[in-house]
Amino acid sequence: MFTKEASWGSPVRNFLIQADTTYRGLFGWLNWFGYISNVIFRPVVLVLIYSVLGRFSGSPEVGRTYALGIACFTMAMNILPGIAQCYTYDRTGGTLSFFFASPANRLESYLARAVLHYPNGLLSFVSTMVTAWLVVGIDFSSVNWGGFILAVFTTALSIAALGEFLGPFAIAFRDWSNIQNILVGMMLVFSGVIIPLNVFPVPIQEFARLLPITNGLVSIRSTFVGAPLAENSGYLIREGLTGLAYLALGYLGFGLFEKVARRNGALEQESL
Amino acid sequence: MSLHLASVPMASVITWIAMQRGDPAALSYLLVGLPLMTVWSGVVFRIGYTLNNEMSNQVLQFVYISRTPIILVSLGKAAAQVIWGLPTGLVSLVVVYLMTRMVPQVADVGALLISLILVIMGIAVASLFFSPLMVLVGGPTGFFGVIILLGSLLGGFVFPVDRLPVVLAVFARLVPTSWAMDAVSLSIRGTDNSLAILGAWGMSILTAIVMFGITYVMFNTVEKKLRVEGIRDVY
Repeated sequence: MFTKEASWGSPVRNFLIQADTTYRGLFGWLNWFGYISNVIFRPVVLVLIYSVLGRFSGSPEVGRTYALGIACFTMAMNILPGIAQCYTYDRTGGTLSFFFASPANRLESYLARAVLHYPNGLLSFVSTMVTAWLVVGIDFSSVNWGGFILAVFTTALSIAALGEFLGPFAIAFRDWSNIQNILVGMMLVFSGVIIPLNVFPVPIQEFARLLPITNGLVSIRSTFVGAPLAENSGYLIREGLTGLAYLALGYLGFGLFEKVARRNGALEQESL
Repeated sequence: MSLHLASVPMASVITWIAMQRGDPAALSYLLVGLPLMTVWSGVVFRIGYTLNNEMSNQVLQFVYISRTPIILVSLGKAAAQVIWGLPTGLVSLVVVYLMTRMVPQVADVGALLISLILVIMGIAVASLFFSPLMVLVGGPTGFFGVIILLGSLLGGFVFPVDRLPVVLAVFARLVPTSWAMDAVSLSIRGTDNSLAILGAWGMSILTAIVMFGITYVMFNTVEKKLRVEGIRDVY
C-alpha cells in the first residue's frame, strides 16, 4: 500500500514498507485468535490470577498494588516474542539470505522490525489496566496523565530495544526461546514488577537497574499517584538510556551475526 | 535444563505473594499446587502441538495407515510428555521450599498420593484435548499463549477454584484438575467426611472421561476431514 500511495521521501517510505512487511510476513501471532488471545486476553488472565491469588493468600490488595507492574510485564510478554519472531522466521523461512545478499540498509531493516510491535505492547498495557480497573478497582483519579503516558511510552521503547538486542540471538541460536524466557523471567523477578527491588542485596539491585522496566516503573508508579514527572525524571532518563544501550548493542550483534554467517557460509542455519 | 528452569521466575513470584501474609493453609496448598501448575504450563504446549507437528512434518499418514488408533498413539505421547515435564515441577517445588522453608503438613498422605495421580491424569487429558482442536481451528500460531494461563487459572493449581468469580468457577468445574485439586486440598487439611474426597475423585474421573470422549470425537473428526479432503500433510 505504501508503494502506491505514500508521497514521503524515499528513506521514510522504505522504512515504513519494511516495518509493514516484516510485521505482516514474520509475525506468527498475526491471526485473529493468536493476536486477540495474546495481546488482549493474556493480560486479563494474568491480572485475574494475581488478584485471586492475593485474596486467597490473605493479601487482597495485591491486585491493586501490582497492577502497574503486571501491565509493564505484559508489554514485555508481547513485544519481546513478537520482535524475536521477526528475526527467527526470517532465517527459518530462508529469506534472510536474500536480505544479506542485497545492498539494503542494515540499520533501517534492524529498526523497522520493532516498529509495529511497539503498539502491541501499549495495547496489552491498556488491556491490563482496564482489567485491573474492572476487577480490583484501581483508582485513576489522581493520575498525572502527561507524565504517566510519557513514562509508559519510554518503558515500552526500552522493552522494544531489548527485543532488538535479543534479535540476533534469535537468528543465531536454535533454542532462542530459552534465552528469551530466561530474560523475561529475570524481568519478572528482578525489575520490581511484583517483588520490590529493596528486598534484594545491593549488587542484585544494581544488576536489576540494567534491565528494562526497573527504572521506568518507578516513574510510572509515581506519576500514577499524581507526582510530577520531574520528581523521578532521573529514573525515566535512565530507562531511556538503558533502551538506547540495548539498541546499540543489538545493532552490533546484528552486524556480527552477518559477518560470522558469511564467513561460515551458514546463512540458512544457526551460525554459532 | 533451561526448559525446566523456565518455571523458576513464575514460581518465585507466586510464592513471594503467598508469603506476604504467611497463611500456612495457603502456603501448603501452594507447595503442592504450584509445581503441578508448572508441569501443566510446560506440557500443554508440547502435547497440544503433537498432531499439528505430525501433519507439518508429514508423518501423520504413517500413523493413519498403521493399525494402532491415533488416539492411543497420542495418549502415549501425552503420558511421555507429562513424565518428561515432572522434573519441572520438582524444580518449582525446590524453589517454593527454599523460599518458605516449609514442608506441607499433610493430614492424609494416602489420599494425597491418589489425588496427585488424578491431577497428573487430568493434566494429560486436558492437554490432549487441545491436540485435535489445534488442527480443527487451523493451527493458528500463538494459540497457547492464553490457553496456558487460562489452564493455570481454571485448573485450581494455586488457589481452589471456588475463590474464582462465579462465571469462571463454573467453567473451572469442567476441568478435571479443579476437582482433583479439591481432593488435594482436603487431603492436606484432613477431613472426617471421606465422601467429600471420594466425591472430588469421582468428579475428577468423570470430567476426565467426558473430556477424553470429546477429544476422541475430535480426533475422529480430524481423521475424517483429512481422509475425505485428501490433504494429510497441509491445511
